[in-house]
Amino acid sequence: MQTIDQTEARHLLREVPYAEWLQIGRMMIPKGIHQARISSLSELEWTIRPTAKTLVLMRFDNLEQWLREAVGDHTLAETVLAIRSRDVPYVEQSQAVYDAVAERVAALKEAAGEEEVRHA
Amino acid sequence: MASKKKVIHDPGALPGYAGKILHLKLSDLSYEVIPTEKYRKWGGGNGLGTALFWDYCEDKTLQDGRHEKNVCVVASSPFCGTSVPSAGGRCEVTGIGYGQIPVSWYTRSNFGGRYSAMMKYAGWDAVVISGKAPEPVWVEVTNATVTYHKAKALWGKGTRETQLAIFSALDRENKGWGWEPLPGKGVEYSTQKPAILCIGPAGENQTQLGSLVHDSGNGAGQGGFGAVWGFKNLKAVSFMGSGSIKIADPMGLVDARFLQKEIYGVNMEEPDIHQWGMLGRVFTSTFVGLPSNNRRAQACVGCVMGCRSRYDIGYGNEVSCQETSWYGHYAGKYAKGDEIEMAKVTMQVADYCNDLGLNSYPFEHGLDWLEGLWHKGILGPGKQIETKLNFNEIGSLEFGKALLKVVAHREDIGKDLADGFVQTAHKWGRKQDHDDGTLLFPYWGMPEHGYDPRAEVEWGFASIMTDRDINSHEFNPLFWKPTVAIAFGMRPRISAEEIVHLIAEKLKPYVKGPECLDFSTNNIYSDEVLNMTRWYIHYSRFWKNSALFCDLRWADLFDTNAPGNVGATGDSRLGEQVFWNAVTGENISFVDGLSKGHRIYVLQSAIWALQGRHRDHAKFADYIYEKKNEEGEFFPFYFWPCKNEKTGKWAYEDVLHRHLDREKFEEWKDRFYKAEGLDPKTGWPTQKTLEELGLEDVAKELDAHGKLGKEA
Repeated sequence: MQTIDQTEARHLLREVPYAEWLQIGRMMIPKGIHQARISSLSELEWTIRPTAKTLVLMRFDNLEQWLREAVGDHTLAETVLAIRSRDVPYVEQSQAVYDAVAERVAALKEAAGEEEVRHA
Repeated sequence: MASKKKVIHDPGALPGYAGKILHLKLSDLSYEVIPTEKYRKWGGGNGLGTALFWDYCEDKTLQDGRHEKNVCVVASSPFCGTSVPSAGGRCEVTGIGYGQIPVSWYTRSNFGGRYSAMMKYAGWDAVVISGKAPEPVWVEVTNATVTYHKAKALWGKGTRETQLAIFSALDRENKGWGWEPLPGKGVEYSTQKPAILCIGPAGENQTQLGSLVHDSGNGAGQGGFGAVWGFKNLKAVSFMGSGSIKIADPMGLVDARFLQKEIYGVNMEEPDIHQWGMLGRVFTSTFVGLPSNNRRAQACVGCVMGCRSRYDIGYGNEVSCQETSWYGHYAGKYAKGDEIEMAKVTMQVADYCNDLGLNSYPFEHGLDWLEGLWHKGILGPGKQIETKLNFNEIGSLEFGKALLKVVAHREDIGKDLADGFVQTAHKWGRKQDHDDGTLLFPYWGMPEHGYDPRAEVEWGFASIMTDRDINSHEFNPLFWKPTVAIAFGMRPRISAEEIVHLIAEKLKPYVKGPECLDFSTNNIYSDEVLNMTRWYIHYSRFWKNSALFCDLRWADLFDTNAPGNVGATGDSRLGEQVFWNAVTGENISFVDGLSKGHRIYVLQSAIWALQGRHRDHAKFADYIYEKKNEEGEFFPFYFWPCKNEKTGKWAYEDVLHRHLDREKFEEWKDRFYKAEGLDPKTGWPTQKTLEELGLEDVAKELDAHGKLGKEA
């Protein structure tokens, strides 16, 4: 497994400039679809975490592009690209993307020396 | 052996109704009693309120509801306080509002809880509020006794403290709350809690986002009626009643309710989580994930679902629905993904919103816009738009409360935002943000509900042909159900072919067939979609806003709980009209109810005409016509039934990535107005239409103002 040094990890976990924030959709029945803007990998992780309340839907091509061009995480972008090519339902792809993001963020946080936060 | 005495049921002269309407004349702090009988034909709620407005508003040309001559009506329906499923607890507010563009139209809002039921138990079907009190007042209504109280001590207080103060004030004998004295002989005390509708600081300061709030989490938000009450110096109206409601055919009501439960009810032992339909579904309306599943259902009077919740952790003091979500993502970001902190802050901010009496919906898109201006260096200390709000702290409890406070109290940027986000954009020289959809407020200066009119056209069409975000979910499951199913890789529970036929049957005779639900880009301006839209408006105007069936349960146009997936709407055994007839003793058909909805809509069109509306006002924000649906950038798909022009086959198709066509929509409006009996050139009602609807007096008044439409 490729090792990540602390400087790179902190760089990848940084908040990107506002103009590069990723827009995603959140579906809440019956309230509707509302957008959220994502500024960092950590934020992406907890935002797309599956819950009983919200179905997060995003375009994976936008996500891949954001990872590559705004965040600069080519490793995770390649993983998303591979998931996109799988012939499985959207939610399965979404779960796989979440798992990949969660694993990546955990690894980056460990390398960066950041603390974990509470989950309900 | 005791002899069996035959019980004779006497439904009274006006079953379902309390029989009288309270007219509060604020200017001289007097009141009068209006017999309900004259207004019975309007049903209740929206229809009743509109007819009363027409008779009691002396100047219908007002363009701002904050005026002494404006009349606000809070109305129940025959169903309120009864056991009609999911219809006993809604309450309708009507009058000229505040804050829409270009004009604050005659409009409506609605809230749940127990207010309308208590109003009727006290003996009143509605309360008409006219004039302006010389000083802040609140009104106590206990059965037939009406008392004005000075509200100086309540002015400035939040909605919770206001209600607590009124509970205490009604405890005249100091026996402690819960043992309220009732006037008159017979029953002298009651353990019931008065039902109070009140405003908070947002209403007192006449902000566009000022709501009317009842108990906790019941709010009439759209329309700015809080501002209307604030202008009128009316802090609260409290009802306490010991009466009951006579039902024309009690067994008919019970039979229909039980049959509905048998066919459509949820099996709580094994709930069908993939159920399609409105009546038989289960959901909760707390939108932020809470760190507890220990929930007790909370419901409006008569509801069979209980979408609201009491959680053991108590976050948010029982607030529910949209206000429990709009700040969630910001709170999560500030808490760095700590879900417990996110939930706590989101609910606390929601509660504060409720306490200030603010409508939280505009903040959903509005805060996103403000945050963008701050990041771009336009908004902030020493910037082009000055503010002391610290956007570095966005997502914190302190920031959330500070933002709400400045709007409710008209401070800082709240001085502008209190008049509306779109109005603020114009004032700040940022009209382009509204035109290009940076600010997602597509109709009448009101925020998008979450369903973009470019994809979900029926929602947009009905909103722009009325007066506000329609917020009526009749057809909306046609998006949710297939979209979620397809996302999960499941076969849609009901095929596109089947569902359009099921619904089209419900919409007859308005529509000819299933093409009314073909949302292909080449069909959305068709006569059939037009007829579906007319049904939608008429249904919501009568069955939903006047009879007061709950929007989250009705209409039930298809339902997988029932044989053949047939929904309950219009059903001869348990449809809307069955309950109406059982309660009122009338004998109307389901379609008769739709005709009443048409009559209400035409009367409202007359009021809009007097206010200065012209058909040219009925247009969306520019981005709806000029930009393809931006949701396509962050949202992957939006499925809706579409018919393939070549093969004739139906499928759920993605209807994102399009914009509306301005010219085609204008031409659609020509046909719409004509079908409604309105003048296509102006949108005003014609003499012929008004006469056919028995509204000759309305025709006279329009004629006197030069606002009578010409026959096509």
